[in-house]
Amino acid sequence: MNLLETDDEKAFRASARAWLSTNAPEGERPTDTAGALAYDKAWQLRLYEGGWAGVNWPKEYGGRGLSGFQYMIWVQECVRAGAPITGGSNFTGQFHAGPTLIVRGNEDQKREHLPKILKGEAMWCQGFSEPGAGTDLANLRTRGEIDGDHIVVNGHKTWTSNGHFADLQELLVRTDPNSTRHHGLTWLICDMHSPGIEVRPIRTMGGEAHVNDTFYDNVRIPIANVVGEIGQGWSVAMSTFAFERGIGFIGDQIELINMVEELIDIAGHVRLPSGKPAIEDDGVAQRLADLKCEALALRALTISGLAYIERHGQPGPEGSMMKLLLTTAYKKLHQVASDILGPGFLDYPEGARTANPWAYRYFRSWVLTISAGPNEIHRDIIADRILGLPRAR
Amino acid sequence: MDLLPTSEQQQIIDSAVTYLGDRLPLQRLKSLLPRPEVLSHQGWQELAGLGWFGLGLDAAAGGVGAGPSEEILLFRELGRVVAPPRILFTAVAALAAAAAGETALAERIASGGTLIALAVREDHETGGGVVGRRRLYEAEGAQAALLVDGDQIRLLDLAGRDLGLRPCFDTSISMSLADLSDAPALCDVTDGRIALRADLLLAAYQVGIAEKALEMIVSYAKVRETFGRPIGAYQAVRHPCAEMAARGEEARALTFLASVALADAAPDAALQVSAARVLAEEAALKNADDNIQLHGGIGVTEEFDAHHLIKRATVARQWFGDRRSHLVRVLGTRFNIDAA
Repeated sequence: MNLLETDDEKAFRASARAWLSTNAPEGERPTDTAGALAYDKAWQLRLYEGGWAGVNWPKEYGGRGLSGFQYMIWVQECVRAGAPITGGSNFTGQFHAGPTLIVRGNEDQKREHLPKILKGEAMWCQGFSEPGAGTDLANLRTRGEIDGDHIVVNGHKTWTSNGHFADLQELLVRTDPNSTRHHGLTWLICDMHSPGIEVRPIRTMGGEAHVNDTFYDNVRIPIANVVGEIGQGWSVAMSTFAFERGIGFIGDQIELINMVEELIDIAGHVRLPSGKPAIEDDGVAQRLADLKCEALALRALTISGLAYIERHGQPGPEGSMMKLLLTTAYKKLHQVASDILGPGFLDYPEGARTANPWAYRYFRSWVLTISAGPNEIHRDIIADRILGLPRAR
Repeated sequence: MDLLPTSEQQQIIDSAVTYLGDRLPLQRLKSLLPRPEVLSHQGWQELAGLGWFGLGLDAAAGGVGAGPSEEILLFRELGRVVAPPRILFTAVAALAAAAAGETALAERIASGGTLIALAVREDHETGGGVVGRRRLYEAEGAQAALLVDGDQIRLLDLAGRDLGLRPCFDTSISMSLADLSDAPALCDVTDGRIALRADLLLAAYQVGIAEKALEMIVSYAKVRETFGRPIGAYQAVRHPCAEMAARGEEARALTFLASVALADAAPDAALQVSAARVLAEEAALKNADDNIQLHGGIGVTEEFDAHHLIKRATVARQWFGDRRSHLVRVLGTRFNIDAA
């Protein structure tokens, strides 16, 4: 056990800090979709040109080929410099599709798509969930019929984040009509500009329309776009999840600590109706201190998980614990914020993401405990894979 | 960076598990009921011979010369079998004596030559001296009392003192209430690092309790059937077990990290130790609670081992720094993500 940075890691941190000091974007990320997209694309291109895109991606596809720890250092330095960290408009490309292609894509697919993700040229979305297949993903019904050198897709996907501007989609369809559950599925790269695709926005409780329903009417996708083998889609999708549950939470974990510190600062000057600063209220102080302990523990869990990846070459099943704990703490933090901020918490103007981030994220907290597998499913995964309890189904 | 045990550290775990399974398994407590657990002189010397009282103590003071990260691995295993807390008090006493420059005393303690009790402030105290009553834990046969008040650590001589014993609901622990104001000091040192070490080792012990509670219910849930299925197949049991696992794992990870921060004398060491102590205590209490609840009726019997875990978790929260002082430190110490 040790927490010391190696000489390489120290040098990496110093060079990241130096580069960010002159290159971190100035000004807020716009709150409108088009403005945010342009901002994210420009930042991604600047990262690419500066050699900072894909810190932990393989060198041969434009990444830096560095370790998970160096990636963590990079994220820390971005937070320090006030630079974006979560992939913004292309979260799916950077954290789902890209890593999946790295592990399961063929050479042509990697050469075609990975550099475009790193340059911010191609935005991705996910086409996994369906109205009857979210938590129970293996129940999916969207059909893919093989027709010569194409697969013809018909069906309905939902919760398609960023589907309204994405260029490409990681699409999971049932190519074997006689199959059930996780057999007979295929993972496809779908061009979102193809004829037959219709995207309809779903407004969520925070007042935004980042997620969509996606309808497929005889959409023709070349067989060359199959990632892995036809019928092996479930296994390809699972490799995406392993990554998502491995290092995909580093940015959120670092942000959580910062948000906790920020709320502690706020509680030091915001006054309760009694007239005393919120932090002097025992109940508030207790909850903030508990949350800070949680945030520190999640950092320790992150480092523990990265060490596991270093030793074993892949993340352990503990990612489900991370997801469960992190999103639960995030929600609790915003519930405490609602207590501390009082009536001011209710202001919700246009562009609330920056104008009242505490309320904006309060609504987002339910998205986090539900998306990427609702926390209930992660409890099942822990029960099955870590504890080895008898299967519930 | 690495937060997994090295192969040398793994050996500490393996040898502790082997010894404890053979000589101090949790099941031993059943046969002791309702008497306090007092190891025989030979048993105590055996532990001294393993180096457990001086694992983190400098070799020059009669110790093994390992550090906090090795110590926590041992104390986590000790928590899992609800081992006599005198082992913990003795290890801290030896560290305190060495920090005070009392090498001969440290050596004597580490070699098992002085039986230590922990003395925790009971009444309000005024002034700097030892005023008022103290509650002693592991009082039976104790020859010296360990007092940890904030960063000040003292060892008081109990020789010739008649400690009237009082029963504790954790019957394997003997308690006493005593006025120690006239007890001569064997050593007196103000050293925040030793106080933190005490809290860190206790956190590891609490993590062990939390993990044992999980292990107990998981093995039971695989075999106990209701309505024709193992109870571990029901969501009502599976999900609390998953929460127990997550709770124990985050407390474990933070305790490991805090041990490294303390070993490195990192600027945030006190913050990390306090946070670990808060989470480890919660994990021990909540997991021990859930363990009994999910067992159902068998869980509340004296025959079954689950009650030892909740009792020890409840008693242990009285030791070393109190929860409130840890929470105050956590809230008052800013954490910088890029402090490295």
